[in-house]
Amino acid sequence: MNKKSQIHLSETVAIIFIFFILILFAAIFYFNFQKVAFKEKQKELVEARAIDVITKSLFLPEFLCSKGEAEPESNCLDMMKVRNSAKIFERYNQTYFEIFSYATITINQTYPEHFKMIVYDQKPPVWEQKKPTFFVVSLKDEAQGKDFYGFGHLIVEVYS
Amino acid sequence: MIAGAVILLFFVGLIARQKSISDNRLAADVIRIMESIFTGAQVSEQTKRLVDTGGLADKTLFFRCSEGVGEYGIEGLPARTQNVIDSIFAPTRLEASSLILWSIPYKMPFKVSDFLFVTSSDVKYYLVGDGQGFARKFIGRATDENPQISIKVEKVISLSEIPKGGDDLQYRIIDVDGVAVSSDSAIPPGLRDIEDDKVTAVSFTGNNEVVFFKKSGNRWLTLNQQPIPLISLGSEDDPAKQAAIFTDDPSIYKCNMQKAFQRLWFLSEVYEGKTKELIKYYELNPGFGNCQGFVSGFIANEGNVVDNMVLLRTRAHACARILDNSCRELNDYSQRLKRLNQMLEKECPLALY
Repeated sequence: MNKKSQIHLSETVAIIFIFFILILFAAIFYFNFQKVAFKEKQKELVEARAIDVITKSLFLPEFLCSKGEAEPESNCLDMMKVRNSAKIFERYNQTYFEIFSYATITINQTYPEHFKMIVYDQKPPVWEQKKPTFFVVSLKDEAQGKDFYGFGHLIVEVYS
Repeated sequence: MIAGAVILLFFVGLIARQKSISDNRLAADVIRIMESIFTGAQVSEQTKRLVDTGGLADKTLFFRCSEGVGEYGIEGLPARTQNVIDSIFAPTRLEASSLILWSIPYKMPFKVSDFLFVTSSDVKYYLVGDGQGFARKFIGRATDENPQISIKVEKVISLSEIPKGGDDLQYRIIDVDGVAVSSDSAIPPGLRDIEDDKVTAVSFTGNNEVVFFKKSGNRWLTLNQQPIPLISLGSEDDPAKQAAIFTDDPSIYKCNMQKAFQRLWFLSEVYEGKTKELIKYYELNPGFGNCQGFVSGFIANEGNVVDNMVLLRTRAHACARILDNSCRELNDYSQRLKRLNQMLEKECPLALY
């Protein structure tokens, strides 16, 4: 009787052992799969954040070209405001971080003169990838004369 | 048998854990998607959008705001999102199969922010009074040919006209003349049998202030002892007034308005920088008559842009911390800047905004 019990116990231990070995294989497979899925998800999140940041930037009251009480001009940045916004973003960095998070926002004028201006720059201490998004914009700069429009890109780079 | 029991227990534990993980993951995904939809809806000013939340029909969304931080999420689930910038006005709790998002620009006098109103077809609004035409205009803007994005709003002559309501809807009374709803006054007969949490009211007083109420048995209970001043230029769609319609909690209303004032403070600094560039431009181009005077001189009754901008910035800074009656000054400074900008637009090559 005692021997029979011992055989039963050994069988139970063996079954549980084999079961946990199988579970271990499954876990290894699952974690590898999750690692790949996590990277995919991270990429997806960065892309979504890039779209969010560029949408917010294009309609930001700190940038947009207003026309008195009328509707603002679409896809247009008022350079007289942009120049001053860069200082404000730096001064109230914590609040604007809520809008842009870890990102670099650059205005790249291609016509009439070529120049680059970084208006917001907040890089994470460590980052693996950078996702740039470009948007064509007109750049209104009335400091150079009434109805003076340049042409260029709004570049938003988000980090992860 | 022991081995079987151990294996079974293992799987039961695994399933329970996975269920909780996937519920939380789903909630996080939903909130992330909602955040993107809210961003898109907010920037598309003067538009209404429908968001199908059929999958969340049995869940309750919550909206909060305190100490300048707004938060929304799904009740009972850890996923939530916080925001210190955007002003989102919504009922504190919302149970619905679809949401209606409506964005309106808030201008003081230049564009400060886009107010986002969140409601659903499960909220029924009753307007009582006329409010110098506000009621009629509000109904015109809130309703739509497309029934899916049409807000359920009805005008009544008196509160006793409100038909008996069912428990499946939330009800909000909008007293635009400030005479139909008052502290301790009786709940309209048609709404007496509805749960207390589902009936709220807002009253706009003649002094351009707002008072919030909720149902407490058969009486109205005042939620803010001190009426909150409405800070806006009182344009046709008066965003500050409409915002009070879509949120049912005075502290959430104040918190979201304070977010807008914080943005106004930052934007005033941006415009102060732009004003300096305008001064420089008119100094270099002195042939434009009164323009320099409008910006920094003493030509107009309204003063000049520089001085009003400093006053606007200082007051916005204070109001971002405490919203009280002194914030009404923002209306005066904004009005003056608006008039100065109109003069600049009319007589000069460059205007402020």
